[in-house]
Amino acid sequence: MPPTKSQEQQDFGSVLAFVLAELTDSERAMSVVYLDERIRPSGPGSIAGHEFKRDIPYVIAFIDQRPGANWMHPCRYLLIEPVSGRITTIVSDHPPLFGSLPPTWRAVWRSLGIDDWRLLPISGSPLQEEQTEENS
Amino acid sequence: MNTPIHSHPHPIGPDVAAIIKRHALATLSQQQAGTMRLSISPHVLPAGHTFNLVDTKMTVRQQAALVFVDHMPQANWGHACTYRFYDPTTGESLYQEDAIFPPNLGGETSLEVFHEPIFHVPVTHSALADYVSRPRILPTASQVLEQRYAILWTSQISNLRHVEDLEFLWRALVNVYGFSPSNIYVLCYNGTIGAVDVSGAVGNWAGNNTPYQMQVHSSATTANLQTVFNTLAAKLKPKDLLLIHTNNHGSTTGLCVDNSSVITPTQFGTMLSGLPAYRSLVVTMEQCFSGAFQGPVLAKSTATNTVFASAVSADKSSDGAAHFDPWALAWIEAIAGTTAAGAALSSPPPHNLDGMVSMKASCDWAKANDTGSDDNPQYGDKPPGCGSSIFLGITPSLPTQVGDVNRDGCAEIVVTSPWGIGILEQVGNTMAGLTLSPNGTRFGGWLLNTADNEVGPLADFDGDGEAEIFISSPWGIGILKFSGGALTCPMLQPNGTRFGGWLLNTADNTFGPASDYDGDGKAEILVTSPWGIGILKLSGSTMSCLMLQPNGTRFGGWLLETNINTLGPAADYNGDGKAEILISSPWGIGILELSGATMACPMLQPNGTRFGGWLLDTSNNNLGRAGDYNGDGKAEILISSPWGIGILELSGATMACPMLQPNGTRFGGWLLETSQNIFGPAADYDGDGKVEVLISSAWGIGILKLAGGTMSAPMMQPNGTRFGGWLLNTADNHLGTAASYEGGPVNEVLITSPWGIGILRQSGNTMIAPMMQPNGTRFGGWLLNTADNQF
Repeated sequence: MPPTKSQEQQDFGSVLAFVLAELTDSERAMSVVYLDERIRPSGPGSIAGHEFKRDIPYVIAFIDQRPGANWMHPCRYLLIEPVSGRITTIVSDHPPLFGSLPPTWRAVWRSLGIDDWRLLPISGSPLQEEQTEENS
Repeated sequence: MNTPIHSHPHPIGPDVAAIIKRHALATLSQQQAGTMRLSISPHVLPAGHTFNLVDTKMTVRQQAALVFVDHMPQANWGHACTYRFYDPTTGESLYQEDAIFPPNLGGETSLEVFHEPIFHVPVTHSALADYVSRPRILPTASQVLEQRYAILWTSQISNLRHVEDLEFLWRALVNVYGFSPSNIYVLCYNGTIGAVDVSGAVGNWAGNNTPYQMQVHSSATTANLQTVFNTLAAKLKPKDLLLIHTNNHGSTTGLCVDNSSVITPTQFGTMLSGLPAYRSLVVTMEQCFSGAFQGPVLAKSTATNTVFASAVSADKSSDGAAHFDPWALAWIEAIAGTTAAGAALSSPPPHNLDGMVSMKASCDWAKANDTGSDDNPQYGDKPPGCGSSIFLGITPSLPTQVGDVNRDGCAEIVVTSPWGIGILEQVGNTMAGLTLSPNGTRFGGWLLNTADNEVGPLADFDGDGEAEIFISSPWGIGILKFSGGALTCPMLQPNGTRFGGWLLNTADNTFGPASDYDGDGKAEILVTSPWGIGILKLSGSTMSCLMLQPNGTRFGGWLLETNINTLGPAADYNGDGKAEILISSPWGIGILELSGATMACPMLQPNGTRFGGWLLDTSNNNLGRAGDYNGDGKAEILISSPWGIGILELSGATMACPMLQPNGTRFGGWLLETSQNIFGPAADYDGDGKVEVLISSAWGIGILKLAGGTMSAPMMQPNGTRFGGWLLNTADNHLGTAASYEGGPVNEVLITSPWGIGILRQSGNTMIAPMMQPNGTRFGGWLLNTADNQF
């Protein structure tokens, strides 16, 4: 068996690809995608008040469907299994937390025309995103 | 503080500095070049030099030159920035570290900026630059009988933009409308001016880059809000107004308090229902799903009149922005009359003749100017239409404090201040103080206290040709008379007294206007209450009641409802020698006249009626400035709307409109624009037996005179003009009462400013100032100070 990558070694590029493939047309038109770049262990978990249980380690993505609008507004969370790409969706109306997201979060994608101010602040992260795709 | 570089720092050579700068600039993308600021330390940093960056430290690994890259130069610290280190001899890039604080927070490290981004600087109008940020209301010493309160709320999870909205509103309330800061309960964040997206101090307000002015009462918790409601429950009186503005996040279940609790619409309604009866409640809400509060607010309000407005309906999220929230911003702009940056509004909301914007007009304007594409602003009022008559300023306007108290043919001015009361009379180019008395003085039985005495109107209540002063307080009412060089009090009665059938209660009685309603040569005073209406007449040492009728009474066809009826002005509209009173409501208008023990209504017409060419619509028509414009011995009335102005005259059972003109019309040189013109007093400024009306704008002032089917402007002058010595500036000049201060048929107008006081008189196509004196002048013993003198 190939050695398992440590969290530091994890390549989140493939996770991001899974997330982007999951976006709906309306999300491609108007959303910002954030990725919490850490692998969470299997077992009970929670995000933004939503509780769940996972059998396999996973990564969480957050899709803000009305970036810049006052909360609460439509958004959803994706629980992604990094290897298989299997995704579970949690529909929500509020962000992971109010205020700055922890530094493990990163804005990884935003629709064309989304201004910077519409992004959620991330503590200690001067560059909030590394990848911006244009909406087609 | 950072470790010192050393006492004799080694400078970076100019050639190396040039290499470093070129390299730093070359690393910027086009977008970054437009947003980032670059600066360089002129000195070489030694290895081991340490920057103290608030909660972290950064140590320089080797001797190096520093380029500091500020990623967000317009933002408050901390925010993203980068320290780039270069070889001080070759200019070669060594390494870089990211941080959120700069090296010169305490001024320890000098930096020279060599690249500035392009900022979009707000366009400001110099004359209005601090329009909303500097107090410009006139002192309101006698407004104690009508208090105005506000609750401004952000949650504990609010963003800075929500706090910015609150600051804008706070400035508008205090600096424009004269709310007492102690009457504004700001429940913000954790009890400080802060927000979840700001670490540390918030810095200056985004509106005009000045320090925050608002005073935070407490943190935004449910318990604190309930405490404020409890406090107000003990304070609110029948004439008072309460404004509640919430600005933060919201969920489908309610108004956010923190990340785990809300105040539901039902809870909020319960809070409102615990308040006593008061005159006006205005609730405006920015948060998501705020429309859900409309029903409970209107249903549970204990106010006589209630207005509710929100950014969105019960099923929608509200839009935000980088600074301010679009709907709240537009609404506050409407009531403030300016942008947050101080720029004039390109298309201001319609206002009444005094320049005040009603709650209905402000909400309509906010809806039309809300840039939030997903907002769908909501509005409701109860009783329907009342929002057109609710203003954040004092309404009805303060009673006149001018009259001829000594029968010398010249009007005198009653002046009040926190010190006491005086009567001023023009003498040459100054004023004389006929009498002055400090608070605590007894005028007969009346104990003077200008902190809770409301002075005026002045009228000849006893028919001796001299004006007396009507005065009221939480204790009762009185009439003061100037006699023998001092004030006496021939009538005073406490609350609880019956004047005929009228039960005196100054807590909910509203007095005025005073006029001769029965034609006996003596003035009576109109009184209204939540119960009904009456006309009080001086009768020896008390008052009698010529007429009193409860709400629900039909005066001819007019249904009396004092909660939604607006009374005034009083004038002799039919030339019978008696005064009639104009009455308006969301239904239409009427004219009431005393008829035995009740009132008759010789004219009433509903909205939609055409008075000649004028289409009546009391939701946006303003009526006032009554006077005999055409010299026929009958009073006409000025009417204005977002369309233009007209003059109405009684004509049988309806009104005729001898003059109406739309905005854009030139009256002589004066360009009519009712959204930007404010009407001053109507009076006979040229002594021809007809009244004219003063008009002012940001441009200057003019006098409009009826001329056939239009108006002429015999006088108009721009700001900057000297009227004698008086420098005209409508931005801070306040036009007071017009009267014959010098005697004779010509009326002059009182004018005040932060500089002092003057009396202006028309002189051809301009004005002269026969009297003007600066603050600090002694008028007899009265020390002039327009900052706290009420005229």
